Amino acid sequence: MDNSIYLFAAFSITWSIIFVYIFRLFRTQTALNDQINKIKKALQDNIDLDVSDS
Amino acid sequence: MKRTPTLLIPFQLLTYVLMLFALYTIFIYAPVEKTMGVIQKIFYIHVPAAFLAYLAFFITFIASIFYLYRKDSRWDTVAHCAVETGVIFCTIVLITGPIWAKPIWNVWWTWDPRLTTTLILWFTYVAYLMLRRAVKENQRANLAAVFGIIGFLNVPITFFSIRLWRTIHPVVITSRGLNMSGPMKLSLIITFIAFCFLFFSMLISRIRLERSKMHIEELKEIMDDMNF
Amino acid sequence: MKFVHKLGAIIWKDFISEFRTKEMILSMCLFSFLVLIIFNFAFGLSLKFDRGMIAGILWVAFVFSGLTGLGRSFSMERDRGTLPGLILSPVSPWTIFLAKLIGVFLFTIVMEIITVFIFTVLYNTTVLPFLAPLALIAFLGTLGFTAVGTIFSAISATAKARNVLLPILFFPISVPVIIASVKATGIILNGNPLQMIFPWLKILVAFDLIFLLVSYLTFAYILEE
Repeated sequence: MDNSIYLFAAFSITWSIIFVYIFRLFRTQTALNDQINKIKKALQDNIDLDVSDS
Repeated sequence: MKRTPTLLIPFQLLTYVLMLFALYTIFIYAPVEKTMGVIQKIFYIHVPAAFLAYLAFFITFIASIFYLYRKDSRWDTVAHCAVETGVIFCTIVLITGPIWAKPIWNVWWTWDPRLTTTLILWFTYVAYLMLRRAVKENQRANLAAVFGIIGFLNVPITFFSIRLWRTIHPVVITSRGLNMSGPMKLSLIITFIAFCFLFFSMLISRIRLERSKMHIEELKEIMDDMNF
Repeated sequence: MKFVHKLGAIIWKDFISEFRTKEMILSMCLFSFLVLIIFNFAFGLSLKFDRGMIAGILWVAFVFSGLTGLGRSFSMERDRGTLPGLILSPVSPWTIFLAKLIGVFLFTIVMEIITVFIFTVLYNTTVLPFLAPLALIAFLGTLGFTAVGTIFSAISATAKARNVLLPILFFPISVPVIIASVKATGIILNGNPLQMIFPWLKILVAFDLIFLLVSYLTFAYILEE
């Protein structure tokens, strides 16, 4: 049936938009989490240094 | 307002399951509509997405008011993230609408009051996002909150003015009411619930992202303090 | 009475600085003149019998030209560095808003009057028999879009891309005003009775009241740093 192509288009565009958005959120969140861990580690090293100095 | 990961993951899993269930009801459980054929099934995406887009902007409206009242940046974060999520859903409405209309009425666009108001809504909230990018950080939350309030208040007025405009110049068929059978109504309800879950999943994830960013800023400040 | 004095002081200040150069009013009128001419080329001769479309062109000229005036309302203050001075002065934010609004509103009305003259010539439309209802529509409609424009001019004043930001913010929100004003003007120019525009006038009044109220409640936040 000819109309099915429209149905397919509507559903696939919808899911593509949602998927791309969620994927981008996921990637950014992972990058941010890595950054947080890095900074926390650097902070921890700093604290250890201070502690060992005094 | 912060959701710990332990709550979020089951929530997202539930979203996934509900969505699969909704797809089943749309394609297998719900009957094919007599006059429109399979294309009617776009309806199951179009209606929940429209409701959720308006809900998103209502959330922004309330969050903006609370932000101006309380000056707590968490409200600003909610407003911002709700706009992003709302724009996504609004885009989906504006794309599925014409795709539905073309085979049925042979036109891509009708200046139907609801669809046109949704288009203006889309512009309004894209403008919100542009506003946030254009202004400086110290004023960003304030100005965005004001625009969030103005934008939403504009919706009913815009709707009525477009509707009045349309009744004087009626063009194409505008009826969107469908006589839905029982199974169709149930499918719509289930899909609607699934989309609600999806909406809140996306919103909460986006808010968490924003809060991670703020967390990093705080940590950096601590680093700077320590290095002096 | 002090409120009126402060209001008048700011309005007078804007007027004086405009009278010195007359830059804004001249460019606004020139721009609206150009808009009228360009639309004639865009639509050709079919305009002669369609008063509704002609009303649309008139309002496009009003709004686009008004936008240039609105853009300068706060960015002028910012460029000259007088904005902090204005904010710090013992004047309530609402007073500043009203003063700016009245200033821009009056300039825009002057531009509109001149534009209507040019319009009657270029489009061979008589306006005189309809002067009173047209003035009412113009008053309500102009008040609507200048109020919206003043709020957004203040919002976009500090942004780098403020010339682009103002229209982006302005147009979605002004849709009701533009629809109502154009339709009402078209109805009147076609010689219809006054009753027919009442629904549109109601929309304009509602819009004006709501946005004046919102600006009263929120303008202080716009000026906060």
